[in-house]
Order: sequence, then structure tokens, then C-alpha cells
Amino acid sequence: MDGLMIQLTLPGAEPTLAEAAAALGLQPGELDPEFGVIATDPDQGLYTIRVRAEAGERARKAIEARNIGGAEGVFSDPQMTPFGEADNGMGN
Amino acid sequence: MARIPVIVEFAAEPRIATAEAMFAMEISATEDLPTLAGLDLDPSFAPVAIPKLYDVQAFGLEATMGVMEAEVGQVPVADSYIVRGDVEEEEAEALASREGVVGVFADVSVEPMLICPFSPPLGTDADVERLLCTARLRSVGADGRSVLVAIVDTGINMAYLNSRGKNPAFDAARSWTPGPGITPGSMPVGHGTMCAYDVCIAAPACTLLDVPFLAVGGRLSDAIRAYNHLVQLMRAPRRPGESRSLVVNNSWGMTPGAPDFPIGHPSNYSNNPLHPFNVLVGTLEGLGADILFAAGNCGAPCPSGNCGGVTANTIIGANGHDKVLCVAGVDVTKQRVGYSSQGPGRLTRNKPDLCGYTHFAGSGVYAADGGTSAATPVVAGLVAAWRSRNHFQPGNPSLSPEALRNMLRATCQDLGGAGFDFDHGFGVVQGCKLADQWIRPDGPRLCDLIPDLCGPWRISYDICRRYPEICELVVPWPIKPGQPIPKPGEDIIFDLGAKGERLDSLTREQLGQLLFVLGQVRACGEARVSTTPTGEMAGAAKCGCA
Repeated sequence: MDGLMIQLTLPGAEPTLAEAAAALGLQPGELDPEFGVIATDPDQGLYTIRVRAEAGERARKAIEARNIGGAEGVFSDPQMTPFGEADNGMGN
Repeated sequence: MARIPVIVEFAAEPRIATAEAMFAMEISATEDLPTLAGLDLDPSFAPVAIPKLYDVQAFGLEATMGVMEAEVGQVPVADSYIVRGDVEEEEAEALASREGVVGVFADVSVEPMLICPFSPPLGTDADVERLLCTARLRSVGADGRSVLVAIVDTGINMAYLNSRGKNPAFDAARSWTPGPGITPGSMPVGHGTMCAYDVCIAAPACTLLDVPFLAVGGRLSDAIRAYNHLVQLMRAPRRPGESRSLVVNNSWGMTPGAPDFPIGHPSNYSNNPLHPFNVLVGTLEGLGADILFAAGNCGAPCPSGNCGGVTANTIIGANGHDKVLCVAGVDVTKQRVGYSSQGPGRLTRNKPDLCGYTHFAGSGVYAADGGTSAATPVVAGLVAAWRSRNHFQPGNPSLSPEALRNMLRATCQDLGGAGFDFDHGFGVVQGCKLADQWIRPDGPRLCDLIPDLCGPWRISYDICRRYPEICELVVPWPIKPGQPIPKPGEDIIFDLGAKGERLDSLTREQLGQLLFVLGQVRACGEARVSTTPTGEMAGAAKCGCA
């Protein structure tokens, strides 16, 4: 699913998709349910979600408007590559 | 004018021309050889004969060589010899035309051949086993038993592993199923299977978890989902006595030039500790997981083709995280492979941490188990082996992932520059050193030094009704000099000729003998000692010397 990966602080121990969406002024259906709400650092209240592409711009503005900074924000989602195949003539 | 190192070939002289002389004597470079103006000979380099083969019959060498005509067709004869030294560059040609000089040649520096991408394999996984002392590790149960090893990769094919002689346990329930059509443990044979195989070199009894995030896209967001699964695993309750050790192998990363926000941008991954994946790596490590990442294959002088020619600053993102072991690659001769990414790391400067062995014939998935992809699970297996004797315990700092990282770094064999360097980290892991922790080398063998002190002895007697009071300082002996400790079944022999000796008058040897006997008595518990059918003591502590 194309979209934005966003890390934000949320209250509570296990915030739901709906609570995460509400924090950004979005609808729950505008978040990736398969990704869910992942606790990246629950001690700091940090969670990560993925927002559907069509809601990306609104989500970006919402996170910027929170102006919390630090670990909150939109983050890149680059492609990862195994480190063995190319050296065995199997790729690239 | 520059002086250059040269090899000078001289025609053999009569006094050193015969094969017998050339090969039987050491030739003094300064005494026996002609001198040439302009040539500074290296006195530490003994001349080397350059034999050529000559037909015995054709050159009439039978008498000279003392060999039978029918026995040898060709024999080596010292036709010339070489010395080395240095000469002014513009004088080399003139030197070559001097009488007796066959030629003057450059004495070039050579270097070991580097392993590069597409190089054939060097050595096999059996060599890696030997280098890691896996047999010694297994002998003390350090084989990965009761340790979970997560292969975060393309997927594992257990049937293939079994067909190749690897039979680790597999935990399907704790593996990650990212979506339909994904069956952990039955994934296509490929990179992940290679990694799983290489873990089993040092940890043949580990329990593998399949985390095939690269099979479902391989984006960093997929890795975050995978790591979330591992976090939940670490948080889940364990049965009493169940190990909490988890080793996480990551033989992947971001290649230079892959799309990312610029360095310094808050959304960047490569250099940003606040990126959610980098945060999550720290969270998982904090829960007790030992996390290993491959350094990458973008090292100089022969980076992988997908590096775009970039060889600087290629330990990117989580691969250089402070809370992980970043693994570089050496071949089985302990030479750095020419593509292993070099430090510094982007997130943490002093990376890689250490080296594992790579580019050997192993799993058979590829011609060579190569790249830092293979080096990492080789080390991961060693980590799992160590963990099987030192399981992670929450709240015990000596068993924390940080303690393990420090221990591995401290026990590496230093390679390259002294101490840490950006090519090798702290050096290559040493399984043998880890094995030494549990298999102590023999200390002084007291039983060899003082045979009378050691048993196993079977003693059945009652000294002053089994004193530790030692009969109120009245010792029922001295034991006569040379009198051995009683053999099994014998009573101690008292010398009742005297009234006994005071304890403080015993010699050191007598005191040692007495203490040993007392120790045996105490260990037995009672005066009467139960014995096994073979005559050995049962229930008594042995002196540990046998």
C-alpha cells in the first residue's frame, strides 16, 4: 500500500487505530489496518502508523501542526536489499 | 635519482655450479658472490639457485651427477642464481650488461589476492567449523539449544536445510506470517535459507524462526512489522524454565543511492536515530534480543555491483546502530574480503564491530555463501551457541545484549591495524576463546606432583571417632615418611609407637596428607563409605585431580 509512514506520540498503553487516526484528524479507514499501530518505543509513548496515500497530505499537515518535533513526523520507507545475492551472481 | 629494488640473476660460477653444492650449502651473500658497482646487495637475502632441467645423457652429466644413465631422464642443475638489492634506476640497464649477469629484474611488491564479488569460494563450511571450534563448543552443550534465532530475510526452506545435513528445530508458531501465501519454513530456497544454514554452523541445535519480510516487499515498513512481531514475542510470557534468548539475524540493508530523504532532513532514515525502525531496533534490544546486522558489501576495492561505485559511508541506518553487532566479512584465511563495507557507520562511528567468516562453499544455495550476508549468520550462530550456556535474564546486566557485544568484541582476534579499525572492527570472532570459558586448560596436576594425595581412595576407618576435633591435638600418627595414604579397604595405620604428635609438629607433607584424609572422611559423611561394585567411592567428592 502506498502511503506515508508516520511516527507520533499517543497516550495509553495500546492505542487503537481509531485513536491514532483521531490524533491526526483522520478516519480509521484512512490508516493501513495491516500495519496497525506499532509501538516503536512505548516507554516514550512513540507509535508508528501508515496512512493511505490519499490522506497523506492531510496527515502531513496534521503532524506538522502538532509541532511536537523530536521523533514525531513523517519518515522515509526505503527499499531494503539482501547483502548476498549480488555477490553470488544471482542479481544486479 | 631513485633507487629501485631489483632481482639480479647471475650465471652460476664453477665453485657453486654443481647441484650438490647449490642445494647442500648455504651461500653467503657477502662472501661468495661477485660484487658489482652500484648494486647494494641485501645481506639478509640468501641467494636462490634457479635450476633448469637438463637431459642427463645429452649433456654428459652422468659422471657429474653420479646417477645411472637409465634411472633419470632429466635432472636439475643450478644454471643461475639470484640475489636482491637495489640500484639507481638509470644504472639498471648498464648493470644487466655486466659480465656474469644474466638479467636485472624489478623486485615488485605483491599482495594477497582479494576475494571479490564473483570470486570462487575459498574453503568450506567445515573450515569455518574448525575456525570457530564448534566441536569444542558442542562438547559443552554450547550448540544453540533452547535459543531462538530469527532469520529476518527472504524466507527459510527447512526441507532444504535437512537435505544438507542441518537439522535445527523450527518454531512455526513463533515465526511471522505476514500475509496469505506465505508459509514460514517452506519458502523458496534462496538467500534466507543460506543464512539459516550458516547459523547452524555454530548453532546446529538452535530453534529457527522464519521472518520473511523480504518476501512481502522488503520495504522498511515491512521490517517494522516484522520487528513488531519479535517485540511481541519477547514480551510474551514464558513457561517456567523456558529460555528467553532471541538472536536476530539481519543480512540486508539499504544500498547507497536508494531513495531516502536527504541527510539532515527529519524524515531521513540512513543517518537518523529517530527513524521509527531505528527506534524499534533499540526497543527490541532493550527487551533482551541480540541483534546482528551485516555491514554491507560496498567496501573498497571491489564493491558489489549494486553499490553504484560508492564505497564511502556505506554502513547505513540500523546496520550501524549502537545496539546491534555490525558484522564485516573475512575469508577463511582471515583476510578481509574486498567488498566488505568499511566504517565509519552513519549512526554510530565505530562500526563495523567485528568480522565473521564468509565466501566459503557451504549451503549450496549459491556457489559461495558470500557477502557480509553470510558472515553475519556465522556470528549469529556463535552468539546462539554462547547463549545456550548464558541465557538472557531480564535484570541481569552480565547477561544483557550489551554485555554479549562487549564480550565478543573483547575476545576477537585482532586483524589489520592494532585495535579497532574501520576494515575489521575489533577483529574476527573466536569460538575457541569462548570454548575456553568452559573447558579450562589443564592446570598444575597435583596428582602428578604428589601421587599419594589423590585417589580415588576408599577409606573406612574411624580416627578418634571421626574427629574434626583432631583428637584434641593428639594426632594418632605421624605417618611414617614414605607411608602412603591407605588404599581402598585399608585402615589408616597409626604409629602407636609414640604417644602421637601434636598437630603443630607435623611436617607440611604430613599435614597435607592429614587434611586430605579428613576431607575424604567428611565428604563421605560417615565413617563407613559406600562403594560401587568397581570399588570406587560413592557419594564422596573426588579431589578432581584424576
